Amino acid sequence: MTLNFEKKSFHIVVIDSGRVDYGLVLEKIVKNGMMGYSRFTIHVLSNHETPFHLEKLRSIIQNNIAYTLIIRYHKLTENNVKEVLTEVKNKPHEIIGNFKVK
Amino acid sequence: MSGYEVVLTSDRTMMTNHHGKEFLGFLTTGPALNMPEELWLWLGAPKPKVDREGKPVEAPYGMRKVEAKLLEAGFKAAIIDPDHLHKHLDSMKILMLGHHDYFAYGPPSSEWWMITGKEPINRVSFRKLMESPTVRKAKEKGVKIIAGGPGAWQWLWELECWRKWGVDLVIEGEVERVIVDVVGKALNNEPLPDYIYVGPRDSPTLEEIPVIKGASINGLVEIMRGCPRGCRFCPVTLRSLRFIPLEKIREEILVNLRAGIKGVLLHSEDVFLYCAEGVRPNPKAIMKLHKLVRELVGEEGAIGWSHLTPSTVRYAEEKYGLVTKLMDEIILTDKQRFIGVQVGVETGSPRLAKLIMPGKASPYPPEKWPEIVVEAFKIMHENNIIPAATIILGIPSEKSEDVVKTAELIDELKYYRSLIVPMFFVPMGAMKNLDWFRRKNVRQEHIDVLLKTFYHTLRWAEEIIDKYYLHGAKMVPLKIMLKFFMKYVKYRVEKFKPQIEELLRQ
Repeated sequence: MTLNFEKKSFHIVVIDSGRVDYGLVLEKIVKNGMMGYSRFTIHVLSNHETPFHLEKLRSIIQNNIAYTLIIRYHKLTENNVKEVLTEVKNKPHEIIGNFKVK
Repeated sequence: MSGYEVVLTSDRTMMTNHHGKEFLGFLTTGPALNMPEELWLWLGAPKPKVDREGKPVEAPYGMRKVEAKLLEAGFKAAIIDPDHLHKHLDSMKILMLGHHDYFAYGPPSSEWWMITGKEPINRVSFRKLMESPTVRKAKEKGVKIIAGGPGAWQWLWELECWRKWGVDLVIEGEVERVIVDVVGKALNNEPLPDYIYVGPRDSPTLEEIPVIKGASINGLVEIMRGCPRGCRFCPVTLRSLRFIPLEKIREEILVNLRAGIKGVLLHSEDVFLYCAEGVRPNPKAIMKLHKLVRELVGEEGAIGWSHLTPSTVRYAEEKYGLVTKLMDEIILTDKQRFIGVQVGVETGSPRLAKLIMPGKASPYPPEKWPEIVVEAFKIMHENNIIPAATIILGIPSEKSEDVVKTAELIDELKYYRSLIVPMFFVPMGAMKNLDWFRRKNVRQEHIDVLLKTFYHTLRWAEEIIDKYYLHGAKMVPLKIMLKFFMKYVKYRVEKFKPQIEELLRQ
C-alpha cells in the first residue's frame, strides 16, 4: 500500500483522540533525523476530516526544510489504529498519543 | 478520442506564452484594473496554439518535465489546455495540476492584492478552472486530482478549497524521483498520501531528470538546478546544485525548435554560474553554452536569460570582460538588439544583505552590496541588457533605515535602463516559518520605495516598449493597450498619492 519511495521512511503514528501535542512530531523528526533518517511518513489518525488534519501539521511542514515528509490520513477508528500499527510494526516507528479500546 | 489516462493542466495564466514576452507574465499576478477580465487576460495570457486534442504547442517547463517522466515510464499522459479538458473526460483517470502561484500568495501577486484590495487574476482564473463543469464532472467520475509545482505550499492555507475541489494529493518539491510511483499507485486505486514534501536529499540526480518531450513556453530550457548563494528567503537554494550537461541542453533546444519555437530562454538562478566553481563564473563554460545556443537558433533566433545576480555580472566583466564579449560576439545580432533578465536586488541595505543573503554579494563582501548593484546595472546598461529587478520590502528584522537605504539605491539606479518591481516579503525558503508582511506593517518609508520604483519603472518602460520590446505590426494593439494602461495607472497613482498610506492600511 505504501509508495516504493516510503520504504526507507521512519514512521510516526499520531493518534489524535483530542489532546495530542503536535510539537512532538517535530521532535521525533529531528531526533530520528540525527540518527540518519531523511524520510518520514506521518500517519495521522484523527476525527478531523481530511485535509483539515493538516492544519495542525502546517507549522511542522513550514519549519522543515531538510527532510522528506509523507503525510497520510486515517479516520480514527479502532480498526484503522490496528491496521496502521500492524503496518508499521516491523518498520522503524514511534507513536504519539493513545487510543482507548471500548 | 485520445485515451490519455493522465492529464496535466493548469489555468490560463500559466498555459500561455504571454505573446512570446515573458515579462508580460507579470500582468497575470495582478487584478484586472479598470478593464474587463477577458481583456486583461488577453494582454498577459493569450490562449496558446493547440492541436486537435487540445495539446498546447508550448507548455510550462515544469509540467513538461513531469509529462516526460510519465511518458518514459509508459503512461498515457499529456498536457492539455484548460479549454480542451472536456475532450478527455472519458479516458482521464488522473488530473495533475501545476502552478507557481495557485492562490496568489506568492510575490508579487500578494502585493498587488494588498495594494489594490482586489483578487489577482491568477487566483481568479485558477478558481474558475477548478469550479468549471469539466473539472467538477471529472471529480464526480472519480478522477484523482494531484497538485504540484512551486506554488504547492499554498494549498496548506486553502484547506477548504482543497476539500471542496476534491484534491487527493499535494506534492511539493522536485518530483522526478517520486511521481511515477505516485501515478502508478493512483491508477491502481491504492490509497495516496495527502501531502508529500520532497526534501533536498531526495532531489533527482542528473540522470533522473528527463529531457522534455514537447516544447516549453518561450523555449525555456533549464541549465542548472539549485543555487550556491544560500539566500535565506529563497526556496531554490535548498536544492542541491546540479549543472545540466550541454548534450541535454542541446536536446531540449532541438525539441523546441522542431515545434517552431524560435528562441531559447536559458533558465538558472544565475545564468553566469553555469558550471562555476563556487560563485566565480566559468567564462569558458558560459561562452561554450552560448555558442551552442546561437548555433542552434541561428541569427534569427533570440537568446534569453531568466536570472542573473549583480555580483556575478560585475565579477564576470571586471575579471574577464565576459559580459561585453558575450553580448558583442554571440548575443547581439541584427535581429536581437537586447536581452532581458530578472535580477534580484532585494535590498539597498548592507546590514540586511549581510543578514538575509550573505552569499549574494560574494565574491565581494556583503557590505559592498549597493555598490555592486550600481556597478552591475551600469555594465548591463552599456551592454543592452535590461534587468527587471526585484526589491523585497518587509523582510523580518528590517528597520526603517534599511528601507531608506533601499530608496537611496533606487535613486542611484535611475540612470540605468531597467524595471524595478517591489515585492512584499512572503515566507519561503529557510524563512518559510516567519510571518508575512502585512498591511498594518506598511510605513512611510515603504511607500517612498513603492513610489520610487513606480516612477523609475514607468520612465524606463516607455523607452523599452518603444525602442526594444514590442516590435512589428502584430504587436501594435498590445503596445497601445500597455501604453494606455501605464497612463491610467500613472493618473491613479498621482490622484491617490496623498492618501496612499491610509489606503494601504484600510
